[in-house]
Amino acid sequence: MEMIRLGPVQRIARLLILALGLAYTIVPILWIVSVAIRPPGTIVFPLSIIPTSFSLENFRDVLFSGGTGARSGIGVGPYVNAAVYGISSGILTAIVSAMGGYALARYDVRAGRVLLLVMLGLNFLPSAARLVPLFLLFVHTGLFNTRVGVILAYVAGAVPIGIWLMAGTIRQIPVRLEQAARVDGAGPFTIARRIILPLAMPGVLVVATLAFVDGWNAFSLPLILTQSPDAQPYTVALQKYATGDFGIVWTGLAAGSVLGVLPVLVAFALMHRRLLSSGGLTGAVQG
Amino acid sequence: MRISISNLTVSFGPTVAVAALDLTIESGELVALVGPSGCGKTTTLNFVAGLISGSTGELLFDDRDVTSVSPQGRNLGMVFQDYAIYPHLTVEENIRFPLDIARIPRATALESVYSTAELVGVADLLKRRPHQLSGGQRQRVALARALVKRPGALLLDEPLSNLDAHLRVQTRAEIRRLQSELKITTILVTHDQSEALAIADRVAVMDAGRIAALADPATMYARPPTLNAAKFIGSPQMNLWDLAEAGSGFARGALVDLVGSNVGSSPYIVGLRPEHAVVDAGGAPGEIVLREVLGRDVLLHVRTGDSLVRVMVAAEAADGLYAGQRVHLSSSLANWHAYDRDTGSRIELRPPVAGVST
Repeated sequence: MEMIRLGPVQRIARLLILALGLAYTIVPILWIVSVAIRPPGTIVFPLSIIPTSFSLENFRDVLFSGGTGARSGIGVGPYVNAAVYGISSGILTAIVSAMGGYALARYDVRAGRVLLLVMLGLNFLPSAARLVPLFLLFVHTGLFNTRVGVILAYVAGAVPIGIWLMAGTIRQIPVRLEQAARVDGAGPFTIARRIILPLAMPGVLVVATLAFVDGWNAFSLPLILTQSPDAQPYTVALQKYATGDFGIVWTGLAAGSVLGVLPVLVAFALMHRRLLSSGGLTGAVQG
Repeated sequence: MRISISNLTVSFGPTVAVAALDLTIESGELVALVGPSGCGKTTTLNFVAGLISGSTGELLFDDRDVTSVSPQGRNLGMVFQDYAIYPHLTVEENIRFPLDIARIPRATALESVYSTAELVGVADLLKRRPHQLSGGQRQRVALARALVKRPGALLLDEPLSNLDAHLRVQTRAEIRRLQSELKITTILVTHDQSEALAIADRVAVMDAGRIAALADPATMYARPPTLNAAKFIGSPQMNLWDLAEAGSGFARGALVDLVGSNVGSSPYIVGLRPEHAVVDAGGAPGEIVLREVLGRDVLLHVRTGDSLVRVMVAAEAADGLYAGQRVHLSSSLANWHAYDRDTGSRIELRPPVAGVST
């Protein structure tokens, strides 16, 4: 393909736009890191991005200790909770979405098309709209303030888009491959495990990663659905920690946020690699 | 393994794909199902494989009723038109797949994979992935996968139609060689009548969900048992005329001795293969309107009176023949075919002895 040639002015404009876009996405993260590595209690205002002194004490404070005054950090527990919620939600969402997506892609489900549209539509609803009904439901069913409850709520939120994505992925896999496998002697479970799942893996990974990140980052849902610190993820715990009796502790908040951002970056990096390395469907069927 | 299909009817909604079809394929036989798109040939094959629902009818493998047996219980090998090779597996894993499913020990399985790959000619491709293979190689891998478990029967669904012409002719001979070597009962579905004639023991011409004709290739070509077969078998197509219609002047003229002077009212459709129409010194006068070079032969479209006749002439004999030229056409009575217009069944216009000479 012929590349479009840019004049010097256009090149400078392109550079500027790219630089602005980059700054927009990266500066906040750098800023948070910069605040997180200052000594605790350092005054954040006036604004400065370059820290004047360096310390990892904020991280220690958030995770382990009392730090300044009588306040104690949030500990490792909330991060573990968030991980449990995120990973469980990722796995469950992937399983449920793969099965639901397969059904909608392969079977002539009555109103399947409508069902898909409704599910996509549900995804556009603001998640806040679900909060109160979910809260009432959970209080009445005993799921309130339980880990299982939080996970179920996450999965319920992530499954619609998951099924939508999986139905699309599975439609790309030729039915012919399943027919060939049946003639080759494979039953439904063997076909699912040895043909469909490997070929749908890119989609499964996307769905699982999205659900994990959603679960890890969720704030308003666990804020409403949990009460005891034992069940709270780091997002909720951090909010309570940072808005203590002393006003907002910016350095602590920043350190906690940095700790929260890392797993998400790792998850995306991993998914990115797997997505690129999966061969796709090239060569499956001819013509 | 003998395959008997009896009274098979398949409907997709209001469309009847196959209507009350009966067919028995003897053990070790290669039967070709041939016909135009939508004639029900692939549907019939899928019924034998167990891949379609909504059918009525009975299927026997030898004396075992397998009508309600799932595909995985039928022990068949199948090659699809688009090959359906598993894209995430290597060639070796593809061929090994049916054996893995059957829980054959790895060492035994690999032995079978190697010998089958050798047989089919993909032994040097075993470590490749499907996207690194050419169309012909994929076709061979699919064939190896179908054969590796020594199935009771081999089902081939248009296995050659995605290959280029040269490879197609080569591969069909290969398939025939393998099939007779392994003595495996085989059903070949194809829309290419020359392919069916070339390698089948018997050819079934299908039309509108029924078997229109069933015969060995020589008979199918020399004396097509039905009008449908006469229309479908042979390329270029047989010249066909309805004797009751205008435009059949050439046929009426040629057949007047045989059928008598009242041929005009006969409910006959008569036919003459293009290679049996002869450019001659005498006969019906006409004019060449189109000249097509087919390679070894030349096909002339000749207008004679109110009829248009396709005439096939050997290339060396066609040197002096060009469009616009006036010629005379003759034919031998023994080469004509006749069919009942309403039932499509073949009518012998002459003693069988004369028919052999075609």
